[in-house]
Amino acid sequence: MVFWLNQALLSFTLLVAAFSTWRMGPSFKRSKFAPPIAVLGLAGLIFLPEQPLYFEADYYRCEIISFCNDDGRESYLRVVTWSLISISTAFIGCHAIIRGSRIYSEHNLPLLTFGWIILGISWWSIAQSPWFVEAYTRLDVLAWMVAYLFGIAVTVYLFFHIIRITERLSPKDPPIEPLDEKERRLVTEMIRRNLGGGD
Amino acid sequence: MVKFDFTIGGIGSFGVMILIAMMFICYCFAIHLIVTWNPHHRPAIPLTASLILSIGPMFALSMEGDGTSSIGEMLEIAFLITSLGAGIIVLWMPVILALVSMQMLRVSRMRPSDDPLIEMLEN
Repeated sequence: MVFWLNQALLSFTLLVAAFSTWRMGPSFKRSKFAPPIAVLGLAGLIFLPEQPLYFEADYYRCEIISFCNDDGRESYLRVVTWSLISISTAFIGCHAIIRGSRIYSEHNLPLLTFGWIILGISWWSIAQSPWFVEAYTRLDVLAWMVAYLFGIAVTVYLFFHIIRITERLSPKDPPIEPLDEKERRLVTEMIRRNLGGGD
Repeated sequence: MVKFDFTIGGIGSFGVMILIAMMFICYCFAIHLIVTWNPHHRPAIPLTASLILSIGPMFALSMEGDGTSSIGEMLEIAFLITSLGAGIIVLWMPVILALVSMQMLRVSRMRPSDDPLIEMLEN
């Protein structure tokens, strides 16, 4: 077991868990645990421990695994850091542009300009990353990217059928009992108050 | 400096990338089903399927070579799969960002109509 690999895996898992819990429940009452879990996951991804030293047991394991050594760890950290910068600036920029435009509220030119500057920084960060440049100039990587999309499509199709089978196998709920007199009066009163008539 | 190379671990074929996509999505779906467990869900079959489809190939890959496997080796494979999976999604980012930027350009120039409902019906 190599510690920094396990920490990176656990942190990624926490990020996925935080995103999932964040999207649960009604929009006005999201999970309170999601933000701290996300922060913990992000911190775990960025602050990775050092590669094991020569007197530690993991050192020999790292010698065998090609992506575990110091160079592998540094490359991994660089990709994670640049990706986080690009993604977060893109999110902030888009949010500012939407808030600054006329569609939801009054036109706010300074906010709109700020949004475009931040979106420009996102593009700049992508251009600065040698990873993107190398990937988009290699045909084999482009082919893998397309294959990856195909893999996602196959998985979604597979799960579509699995969920359909699950729903078919699930026992049907019994028919709901009709409202009693008290419930009927309550619903009538709620509708009357909301529609504002019959005073 | 050694760059984060996609050919690490001999991963370079079209079919393996499809398998990595499947394992990555199943891994994320399994986490999603576990953390959002509630009494109104019936996640037993999807969860079992996603665990088999993600852990099964990881177990097989960790056994490659000497024919034995350990939790440590499986975690290393899981790290490799999740890193590659998330990395390739990030590689699509320039394309996604180009589409988003075009949409933002439209939003920036958009003027609210007098009657959004009528406009929506007409479009």
